[in-house]
Amino acid sequence: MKGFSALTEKPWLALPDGQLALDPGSGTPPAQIALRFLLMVISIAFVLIFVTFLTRSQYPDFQALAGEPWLPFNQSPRLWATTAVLVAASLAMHWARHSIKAGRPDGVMLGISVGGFLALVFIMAQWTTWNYLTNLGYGINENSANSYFYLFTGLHALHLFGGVVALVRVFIRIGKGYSLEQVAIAVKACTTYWHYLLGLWLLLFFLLTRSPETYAIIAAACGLG
Amino acid sequence: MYIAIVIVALVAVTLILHFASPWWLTPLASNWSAIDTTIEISFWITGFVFVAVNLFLAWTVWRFRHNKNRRSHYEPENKKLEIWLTGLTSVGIIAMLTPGLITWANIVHVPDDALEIEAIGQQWQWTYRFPGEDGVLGAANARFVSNENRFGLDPSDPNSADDILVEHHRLHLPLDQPIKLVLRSNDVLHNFAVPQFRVKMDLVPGTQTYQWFTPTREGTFDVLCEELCGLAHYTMKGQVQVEPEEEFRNWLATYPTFSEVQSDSAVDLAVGETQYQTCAGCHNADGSGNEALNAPNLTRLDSRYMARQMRHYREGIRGTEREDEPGQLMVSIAQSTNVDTEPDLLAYIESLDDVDTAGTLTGDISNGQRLYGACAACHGSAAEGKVLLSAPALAGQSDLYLKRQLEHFSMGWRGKHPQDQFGTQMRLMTRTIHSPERLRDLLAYISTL
Amino acid sequence: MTHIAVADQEPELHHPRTFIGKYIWSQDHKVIAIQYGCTAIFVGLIALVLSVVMRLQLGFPDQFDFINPNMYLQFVTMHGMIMVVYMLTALLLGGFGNYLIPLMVGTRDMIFPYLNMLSFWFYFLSVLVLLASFFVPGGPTGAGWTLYPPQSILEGTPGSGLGIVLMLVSLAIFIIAFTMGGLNYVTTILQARTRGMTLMRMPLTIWGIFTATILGLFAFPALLVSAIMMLFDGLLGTSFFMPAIVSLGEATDFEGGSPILFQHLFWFFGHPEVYIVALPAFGMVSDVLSIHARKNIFGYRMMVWAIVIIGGLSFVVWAHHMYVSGMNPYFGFFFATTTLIIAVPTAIKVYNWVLTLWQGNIHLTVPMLFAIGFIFTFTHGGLSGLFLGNVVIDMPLSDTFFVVAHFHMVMGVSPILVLYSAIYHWFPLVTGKQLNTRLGMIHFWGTFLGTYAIFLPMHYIGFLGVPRRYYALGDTSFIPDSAHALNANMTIAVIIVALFQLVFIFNLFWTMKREPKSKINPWGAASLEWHTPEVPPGHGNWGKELPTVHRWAYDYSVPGVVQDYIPQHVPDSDVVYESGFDPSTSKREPT
Repeated sequence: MKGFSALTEKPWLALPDGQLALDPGSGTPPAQIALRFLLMVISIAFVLIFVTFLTRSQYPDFQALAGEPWLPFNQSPRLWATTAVLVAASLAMHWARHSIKAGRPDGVMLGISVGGFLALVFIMAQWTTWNYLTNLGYGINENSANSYFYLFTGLHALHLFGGVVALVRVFIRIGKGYSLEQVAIAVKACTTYWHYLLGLWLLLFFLLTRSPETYAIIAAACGLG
Repeated sequence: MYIAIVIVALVAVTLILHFASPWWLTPLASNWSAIDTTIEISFWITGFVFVAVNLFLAWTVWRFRHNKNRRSHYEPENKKLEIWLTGLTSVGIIAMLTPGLITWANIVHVPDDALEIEAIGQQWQWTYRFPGEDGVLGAANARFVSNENRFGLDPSDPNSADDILVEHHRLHLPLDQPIKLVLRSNDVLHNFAVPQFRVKMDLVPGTQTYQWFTPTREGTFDVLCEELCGLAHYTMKGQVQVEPEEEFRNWLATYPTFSEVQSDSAVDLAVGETQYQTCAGCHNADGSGNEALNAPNLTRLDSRYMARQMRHYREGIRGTEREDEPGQLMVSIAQSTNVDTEPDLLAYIESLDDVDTAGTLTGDISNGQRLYGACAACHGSAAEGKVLLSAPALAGQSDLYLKRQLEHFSMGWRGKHPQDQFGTQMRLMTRTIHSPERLRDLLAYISTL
Repeated sequence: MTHIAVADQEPELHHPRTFIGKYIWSQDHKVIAIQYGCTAIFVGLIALVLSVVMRLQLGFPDQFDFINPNMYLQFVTMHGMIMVVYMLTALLLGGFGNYLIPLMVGTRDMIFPYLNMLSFWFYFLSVLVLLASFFVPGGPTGAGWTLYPPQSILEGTPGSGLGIVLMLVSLAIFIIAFTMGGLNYVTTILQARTRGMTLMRMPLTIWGIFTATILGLFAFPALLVSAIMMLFDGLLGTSFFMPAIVSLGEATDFEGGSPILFQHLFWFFGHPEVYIVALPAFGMVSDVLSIHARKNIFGYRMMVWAIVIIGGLSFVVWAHHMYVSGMNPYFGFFFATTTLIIAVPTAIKVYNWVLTLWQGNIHLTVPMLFAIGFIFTFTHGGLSGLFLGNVVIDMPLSDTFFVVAHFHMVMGVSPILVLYSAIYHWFPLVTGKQLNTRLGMIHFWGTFLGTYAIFLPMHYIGFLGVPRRYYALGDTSFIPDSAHALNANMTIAVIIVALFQLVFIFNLFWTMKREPKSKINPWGAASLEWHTPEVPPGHGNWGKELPTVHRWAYDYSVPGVVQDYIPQHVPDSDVVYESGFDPSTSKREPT
């Protein structure tokens, strides 16, 4: 491992033949490194909530939102629809990224516009889901399963919204006439972020619409039962 | 240069303080001498390292102080030395950890013959429950808590019927009997700690925790809450009295079971009314009191509060101080009251219509309101009193009576007896009033409620 | 390809013209560092005053009518929270991290200067929100700095209304600020080091800051998550942490939550937080000791590994704060073991500091005195940690003043001695002036001896069983009167220590106004930050060309070399040897 051997170097030794130790940083652009760290930070936050969620799902008062025919997410066409929107947003962003490589500025504009717009549509759709749940009587404080649903989807939507703000900045820059090269890193970063949030959403979707039995299995597998 | 000398001096001071310190672990009163042994082992090991490292540091600073004719030695690392130091440190760590983990295994495993007792914490008092004849503690949940069911026992659980409820902050324990203390809280986090027993554990609402120990020494020890549980955390104290088995049995027999507490013993208001004629002389026929005779207004008081005060008067817990003249008068009255019909009497007083005594003191009401903030937690924001918190109503009470009581508390003329848990708390709380002006402001505010 | 090419491009930098651009909305890491530093010192002084007030009550119970139980708990809480998060974390990482990282790794600025500026202003906002809680009805929260639910959001605890909400919101803003800063520090250290600056040539200061920042990035989410969930519980009535309970005699609607879950989340942050404070301090003190003893740091590699290992282990010891919390008691075995294991790398660091001094040529300057004081207090605090980490000993001692004494020695006094050491050490770089030595000496002796006078006896009060967070002790059967007298003495020591801090503040102003310019690099340090073309470093730090690094930061008293240190950017060919010395015989040659 390169990282490990770098830590065993004896820095006080002179290098043979006055050779220069050139190793500052790797070739990865800093923005990408920063984004990787950011995604790790976000992942840790969500993993921690997952852990509390799985622990909490094994308490007697927890009433899952799926598993019986009358529960709101036993069949979830609504959530499948929002998922489709987010997948489309991710594809659009991927198109933008592809267009950067291909050198097509209009493709980039189109990709990020559609990607950003669909992200906003997704957030709106989540909003209607919350209303739908509340109207059915599944308010945020009725049961902890509901609380977690609002918490998870709310935080996810907030992160997506943050991404949209970043995307608007890119959009404005392109409008101001920045070259593709100047925005390439930002577009790539946004695309990675979109894919990440899509993956996170799929995980949330899976986790929030399981039956109590499945929770028991997952919790036991994680040693939280 | 001074720094080397000072470090040597600080090491010396530390050692002297350590060996001459009168402040040390309280004498052990439980079976956990292994904890003290582990502490002692740790002291020898860490003490050796502390002295060795710092004396070496002082020597180094002295020996290698700046000298412009000398140059530092150049040595990037010394593997052998570092491996040795790591090894020795590890040995020291293992020597401390091993007895620790062995003892911990004993702390985790409760012996089979342990007597199970429950300690219940609530803001800011301790109560206890014994399993009764069936040897099983009945189910309990905060949802069942009410003025009639203060322990929150599940009335539908047959196991709870014979549970013995000790609504008192002093717990008696039999000597040399392993105790499993089950811990439960109905409101917030607390911690049951007796310094002499060495073990402690948090009480966590929503779940049960436990600790176990065997009391090995007779005596009375303080129970402290050691998890910050709100404003009056520092007043949440109880007591444990360790005594021979027989005395313990006698003590336990004086407390009622859950079913006895639940069954409404029929009260006879007519009997109470007859009884009340004695009281009416001072407290007035309508119970409104008479400040000229130092008699407080009884109409807003809860019968449980009055019953407790009557018991305190009778048992020499209240009204024993020479300065508390009205109290001394009540002692003789309480002693002559028929204990069997006292519930009738108190029920009759409770049935009287509420009468408010008008305030007489003037003061800065807004300042009083600020001061009352601390009182509101127990006595209620409208000073209506809270049965669950054992806090009497203050609204409508004669302000001169309240003034006298607060003064008595702060002077230690009331609430000094160790059996008087709430009096002790009030003594601590009244110390925060500080001045007669602030007391007047406070009372003026209470009069407005 | 490396990123140096980008860092070399001067035009990338944004040159401010106006006063506001230069000092307020500045994107220069040095200005941001000073902004961070001043704000942190300011809130630190507030927290210091709070501690004096609460100590007055402990030492002289009920003598002062401006203290009441509510305020006592509020002051305890705010003192703790401000010192740990808003002062130490912000000053060490936001202040020293910002100032030193670009200079020590040889770059012009942080990689994302705009984000860096935002980081400070978010931090500033979090401080404002925090201070605002002093002025809302009910006052700031008094739930203890651990903010344990259920009590923190229930009536009966001071500040359970707006106070706790503002506290949680402020923490959330702080975490956003920290994340923005942290991403910057990590990326800058990883990607913007100058030519020749390999990871193992970085000064230990950077290693400490780097590891601490990663700890912060991974640990603060736990606090953020718990803060958000508690806000939900408090404001929206959810039951993440709230079981079915009665509150001051009233039934509540909560159902089924677990307060212990919060404690796990809190300490999953809280323990790494200890090292977020300690590791930068470890790094800085290593550099000060080495420079002022004119000797290379002993066992550099071991020091780096120890920092990394301590950082890693700090994520698997959190539940040692919860031995008596009612969690599954079997966890005790695991966490006691990991906790005591962490003592090994920590002990190695202490040995290596002392061994660095051994056979050195020790200049007892003010920074060096503070550093030596640190070794003493840290040894003391670290050793008392072995008691608390060992689960059975924690049983009698947890929640007593022994715990308070322990963590104040180890993460109060010790990092603060390092902070002072660092301030005296780097002041000539930041301002071009050396802090007055006489005043510095007075400040050192008062602080060092005074704090020991506070915290040494406090351990024994704890042994006695005196509980912490008690407004007054009242009557107990086991606390002798002498303990009360001791408490009064500790309070007097606190007041004395607080007064000596005024000497420091005075010294700052005195030096800025009266002292002459000091010479450049007055301590003869080899690390890169002292070798900028201008002192204090100008905008962009390095003039036209970035320096190239040819050696580690600890080439002091190299045998045969004329000068007693070789700066990092001096190539081997420029090193002047004593006549007749054959460099090939030196220990620096690879074998």
